[in-house]
This record gives sequence, structure tokens and C-alpha cells, in this order.
Amino acid sequence: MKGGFRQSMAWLHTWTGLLLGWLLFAIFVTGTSAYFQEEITRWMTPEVHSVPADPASGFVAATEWLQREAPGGSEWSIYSTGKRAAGLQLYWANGPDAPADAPTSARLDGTGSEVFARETLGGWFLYRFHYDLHYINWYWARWLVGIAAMAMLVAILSGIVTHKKILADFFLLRFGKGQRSWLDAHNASSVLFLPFILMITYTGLVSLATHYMPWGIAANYTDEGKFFEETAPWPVPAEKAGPAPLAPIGPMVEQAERRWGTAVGSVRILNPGDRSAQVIVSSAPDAGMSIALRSLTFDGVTGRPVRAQDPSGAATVTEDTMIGIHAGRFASPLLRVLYFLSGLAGCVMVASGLVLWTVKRRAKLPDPERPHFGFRLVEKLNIAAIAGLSFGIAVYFLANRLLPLGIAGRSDQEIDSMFIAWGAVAIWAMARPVRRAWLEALSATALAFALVPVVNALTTDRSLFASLAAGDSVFAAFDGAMLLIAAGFGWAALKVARRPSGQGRRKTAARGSSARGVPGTEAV
Amino acid sequence: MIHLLLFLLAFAGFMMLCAARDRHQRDLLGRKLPAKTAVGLRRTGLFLLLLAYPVAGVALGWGYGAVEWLGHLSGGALLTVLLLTRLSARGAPGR
Repeated sequence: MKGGFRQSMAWLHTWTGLLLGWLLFAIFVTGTSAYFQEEITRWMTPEVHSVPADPASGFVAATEWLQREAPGGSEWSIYSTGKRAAGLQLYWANGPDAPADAPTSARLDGTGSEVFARETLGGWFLYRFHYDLHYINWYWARWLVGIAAMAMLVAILSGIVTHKKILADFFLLRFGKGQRSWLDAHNASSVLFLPFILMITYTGLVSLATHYMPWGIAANYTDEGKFFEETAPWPVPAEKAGPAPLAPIGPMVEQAERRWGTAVGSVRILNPGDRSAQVIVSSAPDAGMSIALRSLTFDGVTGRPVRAQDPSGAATVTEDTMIGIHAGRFASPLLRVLYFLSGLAGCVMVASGLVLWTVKRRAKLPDPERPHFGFRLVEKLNIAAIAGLSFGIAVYFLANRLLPLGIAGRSDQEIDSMFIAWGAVAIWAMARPVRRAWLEALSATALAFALVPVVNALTTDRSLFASLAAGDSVFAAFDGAMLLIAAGFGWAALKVARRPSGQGRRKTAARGSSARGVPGTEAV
Repeated sequence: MIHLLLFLLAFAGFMMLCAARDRHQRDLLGRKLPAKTAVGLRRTGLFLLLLAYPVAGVALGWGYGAVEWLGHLSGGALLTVLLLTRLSARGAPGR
């Protein structure tokens, strides 16, 4: 019975993992990149040179800027994503006298002056893709992502049951042993990082729980809007009551910071310059582990606090903390690196699992020279998913530097470039023999990532050397990371190139003898 | 500093757990350890891994400390595995 149970779990692990593995790989890769979302955005907007050093004074400077540039508006909002933000984002609603095509948003740098950065969605697009996908309706995308995440949870739990010797094999990672090596890599990446992998999958499901299970809200509220109104109130400007000067913002921000002991992340001003003015100060998204923001509402004329909104309810706090741990916005630079490393382990886990499916079956094929359609399809989809997406992301970064600055819909064209590149690799993989396709796709990906710092140096004044000289850690680290990723794909391409062809058939003969020919080689 | 300490605790803990294993002793130490020493290593290693949590909790807060502790555990285990892989590749030529 025990063997039967383990066998059925192995079956479940294999097929849930395979069917949703390609989508899971894309979710893992883009989700992992999101740990450096702000840094990616900063690299993709090289026009922004400085970031707000002191948030409090940044909000004061932004309010002064709005007073100058958007007087008479009914609402101003100033957003910062926190300590790593690439400047302050401003939005406003123009007054009735303003022309219809007057701007309603701007970005300020650390000195409080407006910057005209290139139009890009930056790291936010990759973050958004990891749960909303692209080109398809977000509602159905979230369902797809949710099914993938649930399959992932099933695959993790059934994988733990299937893995007979988790403790005995804990430290094993053997190179150069074909299928055994793939299994070791799959085990090591998942077992060593199991706390993260379990956490990220479970909390990922929690973050979209109300999307998958709307019945709790449906049973208690007539519509979803009412629920959000009550749990996350969003005050709108009242009827104007006559002019009155706006109280200074600085003391309000300081008071909120003192009260919470954390930084302020946004300031919304309703009816500025009116007797009915209100100022809503909210905490920064990276201020705590929970994603729930606290807010303090001030009377805009007297500057006195009138209302405080703090997160409440054990269930809500638990949910918001789970989502906070998933997103890791609170993390220090070191913990962020650990998050990123764990995310990469997740990518390796999914990719090695997908490859393992083919490696395991190749040896058992009746005629390995002419595998059946299903096998060929999986092989090709693996290349399209693993190398294709990676190549696409490199092209996304290249497009950011190479597309002309002024063109209409520039940010959409960056995104289109990524998917065109991804699709091109997929088509290429379909057309070429598998081993050649792997070699070519991995080499192209390595080359594309290696080109990113080169193209950056040629198109901006913020090359790797300039960044190092100026002590610009974000730009230097981004370029450095691109070179490391390029080296990783180059190494993988080299492994494929060195692998003897028809390896699968000679697998049994290879055991015991040094069939690889060269002693000490680590060819996989 | 506390971050380095946490990482060292995790790394040392996993190295000891690894050295306590019969099958890894030759690769890691070049010889086999007496059973008693192995048990001692296993207990000390486990103790260091568990000790890292209260250290992280006191220094960084229990919630934040827990997340960072788990991160360091994975990092320390990964370094141990990579080191073992290197050592065993060197120790067994001709593979």
C-alpha cells in the first residue's frame, strides 16, 4: 500500500508539474525579478539621477511644485514607493479652468524638480505580469495563475512524499551523471529552499484569495465596491466651500512619522486651497511586514489631525502580513538578496523538473532517434519556455535603450519587443533539432544579456565604469547582474555543446566506465 | 554584523550536520569519524541552526528575524552543498 501511495503521488507530481510547469516558470522568473522592481525601474529610466533622500522634505517640495504647476485642482496626490523609489510620482485632477489636454501627472526627482523620463513601465511590468499576464483579460489571467499556483502546491506536497530520502540525500549534488544530476539539481533547489518555496506558493494563493473565493464578500455585501469602501475607504473631494490657505504639509508628515515610527509613503490633498481641504497621509509600502497601510487625515486649513485609520482584525492582519512576506517590500538589501536567491532556486527547480521529464523518458523511448509527438512537443516547449522567456526579458531591457525616445506608445513597444523575441525563440525551437535549438537559444540569451551593459554604455552616460566611478550601486549592480546572468546562460550553452550526442541511448553502457572520455569533466 | 553571524551559524550548523554523515565524511574530512563524534556533531549542528532563530529574533524582531533566519538557513545549506560537491569532485578523480 505504501509503495502504491508513493507511486500515485509520483504520478501526481509528474503531471501537475509538467502541465503547468511552463506557466509556473514564467511566474517564478518575473516574480523573482519583482524583488528588484524599483531598481529595474531606476535602470530603465536613466534620466532620473537622484532619489528622494529625505521623504518628509520630498513631500513638502512636491506640494510646493503642485501649488505652482497645478493650482485650482480638486485633488493632488504624491506617491513614493519607499526607500528605494525612483523619484516621487505625482497625480492631480485639474480645476474647471484648465484646458482639457493639460497634464495630470508628473515625476519629481530627489531635488524636487520635474524629470522627463522615457516612457516605460520598467520593473512594474514584470511584476504585474507575474499574476496578471499580458494580452489577455486580467480576470481570466488571475484564474490561470491561480490554477498554476494550486498545481504548484500539489506538486510540492506530492514531491515531498515522492522524495524517499529527503534527509539522507540532503547534501547530494552530483555533476556529470546525466539523469541523476538533473534529479539532484531538482531536489537540491527545492529541498534547500523549501521554506521559501512553500511560503511563496501558499501566500501567492492567499494574495488573490478573494478573487478565487468571492463568496465571503458576496454573502455580506451587496457588491464588491461596498466591501472595499468599508475596508479601504477612499475619500473624494467634497463640495468647495470658499478659499482658505493650505496649512504646511511638513508638520503633518512629521506628526504621522512620529505616531507610527515609520516613514510616510503618500500624501493626498483634497480641495487644496479651500476651506474644506483635507490631507490624508499614509505610511510607506515598505514600512512594515504587513501590506496594510496606516493613514492619518488632517484638516487642510488648521493642520490638526481629524481621523486615524489603522489596520484592525486578526484575520485581516494575518492576510496582509502573509501578502507582505510574499512581496518582501519590507526587506533590507541583504534580505532582498536572500529573497532573490530563493526565487532563482524556484526557477531552477521548475526548469530542472521540466528537463528531467524529458531526460527520464528519453532513455526509455522505443526509438530515441524518432521520439513520439508528445515527447517532441515537451522538449520544444521547454526550450520555448525556459530560454525563450529569458531571451525575451533581455530584449525588453535592450528595447528600453534602443527604441526611439519620442515615439507614441513606447512602453507598449518595449513589452511587444519582449513577446516578439519570446515567440521568435519558440518558433526557432520548433524548426530546429532539439539539441541545436537548445544550444542556439541559450547562446542567444547569453549574448543578449551580455549586450545589455554594452548597449547601456553606448546609449547613456551611465555605463558600468561611470557608475562604479560615481559609486552608483543600483546601476553598477544591474549591469553586473546582467553579466552574471549572461555567464550563467553561456555556461549552460557550453554544457549542451560538450554533451555527446545520443547520450540517452548510451546511458546504461556509460555506467561504471568513464564513457565521458575525459576524466573529471562535469558534462551533464 | 548580526547578518554575518546568522549566516555563519547556519553555515556551521549545516557543515556539522553534513560531517556527521558517514557517506560525506571521506569527501569532507578525508577520514571516517567515530560514531560518538558523529552524534556530537549532529547535535551541535542542529543546536546551532536552532540557536540562530532566537539570535535573529532578539536582534531583528521575531517576525523579521524569522524570515531572515529561514533565508540564512537556505543560504548556509546551499554553500555547504556546493562546497561538498567541489570537495567530492576533487577527492574522486576519474569521475
